[in-house]
Amino acid sequence: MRKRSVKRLFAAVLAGAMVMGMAACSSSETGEKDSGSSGSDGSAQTEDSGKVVLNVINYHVGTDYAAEYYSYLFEEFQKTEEGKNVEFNFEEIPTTDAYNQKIKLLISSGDLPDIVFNGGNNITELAAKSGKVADLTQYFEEDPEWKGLFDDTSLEFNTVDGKIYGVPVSKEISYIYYNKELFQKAGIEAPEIAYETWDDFFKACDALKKEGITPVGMDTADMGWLTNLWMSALIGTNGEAGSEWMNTMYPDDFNTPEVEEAAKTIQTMFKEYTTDDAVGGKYDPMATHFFNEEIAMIPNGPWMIPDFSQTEKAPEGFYDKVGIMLMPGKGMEMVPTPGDMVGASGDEEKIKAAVAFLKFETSPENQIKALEMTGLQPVSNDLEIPGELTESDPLMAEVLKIQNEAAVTYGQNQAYWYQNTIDTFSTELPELAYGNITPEEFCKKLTESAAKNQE
Amino acid sequence: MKIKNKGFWIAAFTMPCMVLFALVYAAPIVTVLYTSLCDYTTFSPPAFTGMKNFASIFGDQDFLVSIKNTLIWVLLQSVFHVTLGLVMALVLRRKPKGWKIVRTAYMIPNIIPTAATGVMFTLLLNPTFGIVKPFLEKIGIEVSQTPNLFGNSKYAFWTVTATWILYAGFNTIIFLAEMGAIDKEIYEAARVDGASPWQLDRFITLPLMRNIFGTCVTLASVAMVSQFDIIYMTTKGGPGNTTLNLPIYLYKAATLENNYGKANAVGTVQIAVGLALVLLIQRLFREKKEDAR
Amino acid sequence: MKNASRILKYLFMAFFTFIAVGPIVWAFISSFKTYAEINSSALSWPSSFQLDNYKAAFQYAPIAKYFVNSIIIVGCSVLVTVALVAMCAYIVSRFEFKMKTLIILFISASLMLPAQAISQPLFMIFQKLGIFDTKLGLIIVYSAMGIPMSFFVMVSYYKTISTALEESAYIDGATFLQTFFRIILPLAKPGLVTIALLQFINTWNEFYFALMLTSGDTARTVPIALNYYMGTFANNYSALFAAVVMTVLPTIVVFIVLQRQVMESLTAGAVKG
Repeated sequence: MRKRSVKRLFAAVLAGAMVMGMAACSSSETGEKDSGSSGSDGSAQTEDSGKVVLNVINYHVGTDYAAEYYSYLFEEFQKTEEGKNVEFNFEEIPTTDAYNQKIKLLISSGDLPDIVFNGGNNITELAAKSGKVADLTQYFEEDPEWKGLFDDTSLEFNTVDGKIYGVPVSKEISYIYYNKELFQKAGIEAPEIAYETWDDFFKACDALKKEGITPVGMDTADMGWLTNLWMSALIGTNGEAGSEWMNTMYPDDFNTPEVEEAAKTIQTMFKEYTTDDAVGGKYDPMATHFFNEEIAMIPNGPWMIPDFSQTEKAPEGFYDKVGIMLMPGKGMEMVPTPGDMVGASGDEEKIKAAVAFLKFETSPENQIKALEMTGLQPVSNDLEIPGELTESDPLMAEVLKIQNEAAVTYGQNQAYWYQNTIDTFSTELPELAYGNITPEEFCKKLTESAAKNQE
Repeated sequence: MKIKNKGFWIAAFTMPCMVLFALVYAAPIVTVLYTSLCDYTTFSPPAFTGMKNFASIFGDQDFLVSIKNTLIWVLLQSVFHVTLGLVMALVLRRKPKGWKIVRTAYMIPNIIPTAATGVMFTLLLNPTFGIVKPFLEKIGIEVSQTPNLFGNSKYAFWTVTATWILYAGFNTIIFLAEMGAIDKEIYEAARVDGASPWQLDRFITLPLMRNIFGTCVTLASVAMVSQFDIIYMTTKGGPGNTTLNLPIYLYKAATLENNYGKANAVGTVQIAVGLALVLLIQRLFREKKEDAR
Repeated sequence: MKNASRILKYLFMAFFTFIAVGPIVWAFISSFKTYAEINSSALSWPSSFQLDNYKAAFQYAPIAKYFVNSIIIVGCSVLVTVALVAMCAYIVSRFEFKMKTLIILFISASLMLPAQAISQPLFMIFQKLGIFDTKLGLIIVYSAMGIPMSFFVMVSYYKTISTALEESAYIDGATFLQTFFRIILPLAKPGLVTIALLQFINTWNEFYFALMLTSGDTARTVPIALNYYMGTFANNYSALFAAVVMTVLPTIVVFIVLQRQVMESLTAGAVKG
């Protein structure tokens, strides 16, 4: 008798817990506002102090390359007319990887912060489709001067279903850094802008190799950033079809002649022209190989320049040994960046304040400031670059100059490919490098991986 | 045993544990099982579709490989690690010189955060500047190219397997506690009868370890079914699919494809595999125990 | 023959001590290296032993605060888990009842649940209950996470305790509670200390929930601090290792204290029959 009642009680508790769980799950679909996320404590403050409290999740913290710049930005914003009534409620999440995980959790189960920084990972599209970020189109229309700062490509890149959701804050470009001294040692002269053809480039590689110098830096781990840049360049500079393919968002057919040819060249580069630890390697040891003058060339963007003069990383005087050239055939990778977004809090005042911050972030002055502090390239095309830069940072000045010489520009996989396809790229590269799969098979794996997104 | 209010005490003693447990796990377990039958992504709520997700994963070569790898690792782990832990416990049980230091040392790898351990492994095994090259030179093996232990699919699986040796000490703690529970008088009596230390272990300690051995095998298997950290930090399942296991496959479905329905279908398979193993192992060790008596 | 086996025994111990202590020693040495040194040689000696990286470790992350949080959260979760499992596992090991199989199945299945799947419902439940971003929230999760493993170990440990003692206690008229607290618990002490250690080990490095279920510094733990040293194109491994050394060393001390406890209980365990 008693036994039975106990059992019943037990079952009731278990069932109760399950029901509660289920209820919590389904509530996400019906009431999005009541489960007020990270900043439920913040909204209370709004009323009594007359200030607008903006929730921000910031991943530019710790050793992040832009940590200093963003703390400057937040501070300065509060000194402006639009920002003086704004208070920030920060949540710090170090590393983009962790940040993206949290943002995805908030997209699926919670509310986004008022200012949503963009950590890549196709977050723009996910956030837009979830309806948890605000449509910014009207703010752009209301302020033509602001809108005029961005070119069509940059805005299109941040548009989902005809609505602008992201405010691009910079442009990403990359090219080749080379070591002038090692080139001299091999008795070759680097071209002023770029090698005319990839054949010329590989001839130079052969010359370097003959002197016992490893020509290029490559990697496969952590999405294979360096190898991605080489591969994008090989595809992007391969005629009209190649450049068009490499400028396409979410490509799903990798078995085109251009991609297969590029994969084949990448295979050769792994076998002939790079270090033993390229396969399975990450970016850091490769960069260090370059700093230690163990490899002659490495592809990367302007944010690497500050490292050249950091004695922690590179030997004294290394900055002066570095030269810059575009990819063979005057190719340069250039992609608009996925822009920062505004959470759809439903509170007009908060949205306005958040937009004001994004306007501040993209003001011409701050674009220049970002360039100086982080190497981030301005998103606007014809900004006046202060003359001092040529003096203080000649490499950066050269970057600004040489990008106008590009005959062809193209994207790179981390900006344009599906997330899982980038991962497949990274995990299949070693197999390609060791010849366990052919370039055609490599491309087929990428095609299959991209197809998974259509399921 | 005759106990007053037995039913009440059963409830009172199990309930707090189960309530806390249910608070955290009840909803997730229902969600996983249910949404594995749904179209469910990062940005769209679950919508019932039947067995579609299961059809999709079982048609994927990579998924089958990840099941295979998971099972091989389970087998290796339960055989080698648990045995290693047992041998170590047998050695330490007799309190040889320095046993306290050894016992404490063992636990250290377990408290070093995996993020750091991952970085450490990739740096130490780097073919250009890691320990592999000098090691091979020392023992006189000449190779034209230093083996790339994580990067080459020839070695990657075994390299990842080998990294877990750091955590072998885990089972030792469990065995040591269990050995401490054996009545010292039994050993005394056997020693008086002239039994050698080896015989003591063979005929007294080991038979009494059967039960806990089963528990350790269960825990090791389950840990391997849900093993994620080190693989993620070192190879992310690559090269190709050589080190792919169920949790990594699941992670990729959830984070890279944003396909929660598919991920939870994998989760359901993972639960099924785990439960099957738990039941199998329990049966295996229960039978043996009964035979012995 | 005897000597050979002794040498073998010590070699075995030495080998395992080496692979166990090796990593932390290596991390200690590496914590003095510069970026260039760490990324170009795994075995070299650092060029100097200055404390810059240790300063950097404090500068980038609120590591001291996170360490205190870790101690509180992990410490409480250990206590909760041990207390609850001590009771629940005892019942399961001693009595037959209808829900028993269900309990075992539920606990086993949960062991295999992927963290991702747990985080979403939990995130919402915790916000409803108002324990999101609190230490209490993490303590609850960690305690629950620790239950399965502790449960299995404890059930098995209770089975080694002969029922004869309880039988005679009951014959002498002891109540259930008296028997449990006066006879069973003292005998189970080595088992309890063991699951405490295991629980400690298992939760100390937990990263995912610590990140997902918090939004500020009040409840964040050491593993999150370590992420501050990693960034795209800007890893600071030296500071990472410095932080590891600073957090692991005090933890080892905690460990040694706990282990002393184990040993005492081991020698006391002889009463059993």
